[in-house]
Amino acid sequence: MTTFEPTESVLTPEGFELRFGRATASERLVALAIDLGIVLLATFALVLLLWFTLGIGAAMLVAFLLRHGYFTWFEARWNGRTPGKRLFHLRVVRADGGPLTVETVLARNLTREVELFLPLTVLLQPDALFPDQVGWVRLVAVAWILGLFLFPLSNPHRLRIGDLLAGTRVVVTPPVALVHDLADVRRAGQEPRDGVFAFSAAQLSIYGEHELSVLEDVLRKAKRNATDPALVEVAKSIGRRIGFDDAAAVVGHEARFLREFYAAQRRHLEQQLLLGRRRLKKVPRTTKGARPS
Amino acid sequence: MSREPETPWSVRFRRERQAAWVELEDLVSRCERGGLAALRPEQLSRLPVLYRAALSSLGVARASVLDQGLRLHLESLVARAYLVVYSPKRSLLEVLVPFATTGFPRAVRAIRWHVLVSAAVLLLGGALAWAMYGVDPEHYYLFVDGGMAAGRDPTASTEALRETLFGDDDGDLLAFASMLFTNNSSVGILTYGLGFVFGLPVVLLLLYNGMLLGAMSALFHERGLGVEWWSWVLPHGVTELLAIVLCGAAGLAVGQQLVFPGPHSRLHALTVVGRRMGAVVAGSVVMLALAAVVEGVFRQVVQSVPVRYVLAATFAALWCAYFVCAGRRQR
Repeated sequence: MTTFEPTESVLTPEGFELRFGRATASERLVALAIDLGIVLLATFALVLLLWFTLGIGAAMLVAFLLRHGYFTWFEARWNGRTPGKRLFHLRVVRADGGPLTVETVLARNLTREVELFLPLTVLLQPDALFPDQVGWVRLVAVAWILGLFLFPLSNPHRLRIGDLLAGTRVVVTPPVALVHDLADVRRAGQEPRDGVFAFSAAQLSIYGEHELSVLEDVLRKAKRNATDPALVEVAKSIGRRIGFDDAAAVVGHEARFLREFYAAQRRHLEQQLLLGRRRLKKVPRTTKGARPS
Repeated sequence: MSREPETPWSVRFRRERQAAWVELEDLVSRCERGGLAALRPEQLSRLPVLYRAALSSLGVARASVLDQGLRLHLESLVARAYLVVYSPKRSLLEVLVPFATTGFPRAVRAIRWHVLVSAAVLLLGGALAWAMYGVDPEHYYLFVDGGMAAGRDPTASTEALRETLFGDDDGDLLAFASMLFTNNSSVGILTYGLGFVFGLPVVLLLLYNGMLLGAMSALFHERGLGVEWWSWVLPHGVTELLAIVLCGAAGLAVGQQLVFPGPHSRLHALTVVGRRMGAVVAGSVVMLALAAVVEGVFRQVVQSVPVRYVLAATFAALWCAYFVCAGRRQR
C-alpha cells in the first residue's frame, strides 16, 4: 500500500498550492546508489571499450562526461528524474513552482563534486587526497567532507547543498489509485440498498473530521466477507459514545452500521463545512454539570 | 420506495467529475512513461483542459470534501499532471544556442566585480610565488610538486628547460588534451562547489593556481627564457586561466551571497545566484575544453614564437569581445 502524505507545498505560477510527498533520506540514498551503480558500470564498460579502440584520451573524456553529465542530462531530459529516481517516483521540482530549467539542473548537480565524489574518495582511498598529511589534518578534512555529505539530514526538507543553490526540492509523486467511495450506495455491481439505521442531528454532532478519517481507514482496511473483530469493537464504542438506542439491531450488522454511520457523519460534517463551520476533533466528553458549553 | 440514505453531497460531486479524472490519469501515466510524444494530437489538446478541471476539483475537495481516499487521489493526480503539463520541452539546440549567445556572457557580466577580484587573487598568488623564488629558489618546491614539474625545476639545465617549451613529442595528443581538460574542469567545478563554504577555499585555490604559475614563470625568467615561456603559456593560458578565474568568481559570488544576503533571505539570495553561477561554471567547462584543444594540439603543431603570440592575442581579443558585447540586445 502506498503511504502518500502530501506535505511538500509548492506554489505554481498560477497561484495554486500543489502538495507533493516528501522524499525520505533513505529513498534518495537508494536512488542515488542505483544511479551511481549505472554510472560506474557504464564508465567501466565504455572505458574498456574505448581504451582499446580510440585510446586512453577518449576513455578519460567519456569517464569525465559520465561523472558530471549523467545526472544533469537525465534531470534536464526527464524533467527532474534519473533512472534511479524514476524507480521510486522521485522528482526534482523547483521550490518556487517554475519549470525546471537547464541552469537549475546544472546548479544542483555541479556541487555533486564537492558533496558526493569528494566524500566518496575520502572514504574509499584517503591517501589519494591527502598524501603524507599529519594525522589530525586528515581527520579534520574527513570530518568536514562527511559533514557536507550528511548535510541533508540537518533540515526537514532533506535539502542537500545543491538543492539550496538551485532552489530545488526532491519530492515523491507516487500514483495513488482512486478508491471507491464508501458513502456511495450506488456503487457499480451492487444493488442500491435502503438505509436501515437512522441517526439524529445530536448523534452526528459529536465526532469531527479526524474521527471520520479514522473510521474511513478502519472501513477500508476491514476484511470484506467475515465480520472483522475490529469492526465489532469500533461499532460498539461508537454506539456507546453517541448513545445509539437500538444496540441490539447493530449486533451481527456491524459493518453495515458503521458504513451508514460513516455516510451520515460525512454528510453532516460536509453540510456544516458548506456553512463555514468546521469541526476537526470530537467534542470532549463532559462529566455531568462540570462544564457548561 | 428506495430512498438513498444519508448521501453526502461529495458523492454527487465525485460522480459528476470522475470520468474526467480517470481520463487525465490515463494521459498522465502515458506521459510519465513516454513523454508528451506518447500522446496523439487530440489527447494533447485535452491535457490542459483536464488539468484545469482537476485543479479546480482539488480546490473544492480540499475545502469541503471529507473523503480521504478521494482527496489523496486528487492531490497525487494534480501534482503528477502539473509536472507533465509544465515540463519544459526543448531540444538540445534550443538550450545551447541561447546559452552561448546570451545566457553565458550575461551571467559573466553580472559578476564582473567578482571576476576582477578573482583575477586579482590569482595574480597576487603569482606575484607572491615569484617574489619568494627571488628570495630563495628552494621555495620553488613549496608551490610545484614533483609530478606537476615533470623535470621543470631549478636543478634542470637551461637547455632542458628550453626543450620542454619546444618539445615535439609525438605522444597521444588526444590523451594529453583530455587529461588537461578533465583535470582543469574538475578544479573549476570544485571551485564553484567550494563557494558554499563562505568562499574561503575558493580564494585558497585561486592563490595556489597563481603560485604555481608564478613560481614556474620566475624559474624560466631567471634562465632568460621569459619570452619563450609566455609564448608557451599564453595561447592556451588565455582561455584556461580566464575559465579558472570565472569559476573562482562564481564561487566567490556564492560565498558572498551566503555571508551578505542583502535584502532577501539567505536561501532566496543563494538560489538566485546559484542558478546563474551554475551557468557560469558550465560555460567555463566548455572554455576549458577549448583551451585543452589549443594546448594539446595547436601548441604541439605551432612552434614559432611570434605565431604563438599572435594566437594568444587573437584569443584574448575574441574573449574580450564575446564577454563585453554578446547578448547585449534584449530579445
